[in-house]
Amino acid sequence: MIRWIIVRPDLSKKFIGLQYYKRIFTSSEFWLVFQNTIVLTIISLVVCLILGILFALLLNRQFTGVSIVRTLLISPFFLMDSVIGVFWRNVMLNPSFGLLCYLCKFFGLTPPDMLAKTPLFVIIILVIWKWTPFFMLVLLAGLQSIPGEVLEAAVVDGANAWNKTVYVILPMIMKYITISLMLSLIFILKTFGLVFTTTHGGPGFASTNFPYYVYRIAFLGWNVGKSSTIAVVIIIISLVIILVLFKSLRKTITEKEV
Amino acid sequence: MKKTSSAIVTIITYIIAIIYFFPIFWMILCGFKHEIDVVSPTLSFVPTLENFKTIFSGEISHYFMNSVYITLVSTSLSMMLGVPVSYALVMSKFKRGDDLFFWFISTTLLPPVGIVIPVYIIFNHLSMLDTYWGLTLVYTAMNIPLVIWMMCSFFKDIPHELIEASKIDGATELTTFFKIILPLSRHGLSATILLLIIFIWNEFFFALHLTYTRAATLPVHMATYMTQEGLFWAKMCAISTIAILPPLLAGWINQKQLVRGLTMGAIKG
Repeated sequence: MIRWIIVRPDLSKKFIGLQYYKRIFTSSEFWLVFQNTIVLTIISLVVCLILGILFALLLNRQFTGVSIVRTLLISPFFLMDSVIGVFWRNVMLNPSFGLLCYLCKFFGLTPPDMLAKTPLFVIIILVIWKWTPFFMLVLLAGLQSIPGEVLEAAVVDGANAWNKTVYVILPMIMKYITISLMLSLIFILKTFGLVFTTTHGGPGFASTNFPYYVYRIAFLGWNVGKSSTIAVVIIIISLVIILVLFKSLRKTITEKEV
Repeated sequence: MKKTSSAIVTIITYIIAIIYFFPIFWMILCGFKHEIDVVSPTLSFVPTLENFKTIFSGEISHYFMNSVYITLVSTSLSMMLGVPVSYALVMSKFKRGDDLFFWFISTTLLPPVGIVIPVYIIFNHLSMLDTYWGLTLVYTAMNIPLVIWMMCSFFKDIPHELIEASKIDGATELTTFFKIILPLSRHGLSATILLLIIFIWNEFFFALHLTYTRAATLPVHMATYMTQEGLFWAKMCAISTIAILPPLLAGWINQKQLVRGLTMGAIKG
């Protein structure tokens, strides 16, 4: 609520009430960023969930090298965001020398400049790449907690593989699915490093999400008042989500103890 | 029939795993290439250690040591502060101890963008920007809730009778804690430490805002590397390899306990 632009000391700190709130809620920038954040979060959560279930089902079997495969699959989760961003931006997706370009040429296609044309899509892919292992790990723990007798009973009752998966396994790991969804929702909302290193939120505001938006206004525009306003809005939005999460998480934890 | 279909599924799993891991593999591979080999995706090349030599003689070791130092100090600080708290929360009967617990963990859920501006201004006034212990302090504060969250779930597994028994045998609270509780929960402790190392090593947001060059960590250096150095992909890949190695190893060792840690004890892996 204070007008405070560090690089403009001539303007001095001044209390301006709710003006910034009014200004950001009427700016198209803010709503674009809002929309980006929502799209990024929802799409990556859904795809992560589907892939996570798939991977977990694939790994929930006995075969040679299962631990190696699991190790390979969870690896992206441990990488730091800036390495992922820099590496993918250059070596994989560079429009003239990247690996993707090479693959496209191999199949006779024109290599797309994905970072310039569909920046949000690239970030979504990277988020999915990073967060699917998390889903996989949690859901795998869920699958392994299902007692074998239940599955046997389902087979005895004449369920085929599809029915077994949909009607027996999925309801039994529902709790695990909710937990992984909620926790990763919190983390994906915070996504910053990936945006910073791949696209810098550009072109324009096409791939800016909330954390990067605050960064942009506070540390590139040095407008502390306005960015604080946005931070407050973000905190309120996340608080709502956290409250919901809180209740269900609490319920699951207490259920576990009973 | 059943055997073949099972084999097919296994092969599909292998292929998926390889595709999924491929970017990391490629990164490590590129680190061993000459600059000229990197742009063409060929597997036939003469491996070289030249990149690693160059980057280690450069400034990378400075950032690497920064990362090591900050990670170790804040990990041990948050463990020292967090473990007793979680023990107290689990073992003694606080009034509304449950609420206190959830108050702690709710702080980890808030997005860091919310607090970065006040922290930045405070640090600016205290001239703590770009210092080791400024960043260490932030990381410690950030990760104590995580420690509490994880350790509470591990402490809950210890049967209460054990503590009563040791009290009857005349052990004081402190002896009980150090001689009985800590050895019993050593798996939990190691899992928590490894998870903290992964999180702190990879932390980017605060490191970017609160440091410039003197106390900058590897992630920050990585992010700015390309703009400073131009197109040296092989060297970049070599640096990346070094940067991702510690958390990758910590994660691999920690696989079993990881589920529990990441879901904050909500799920016992």
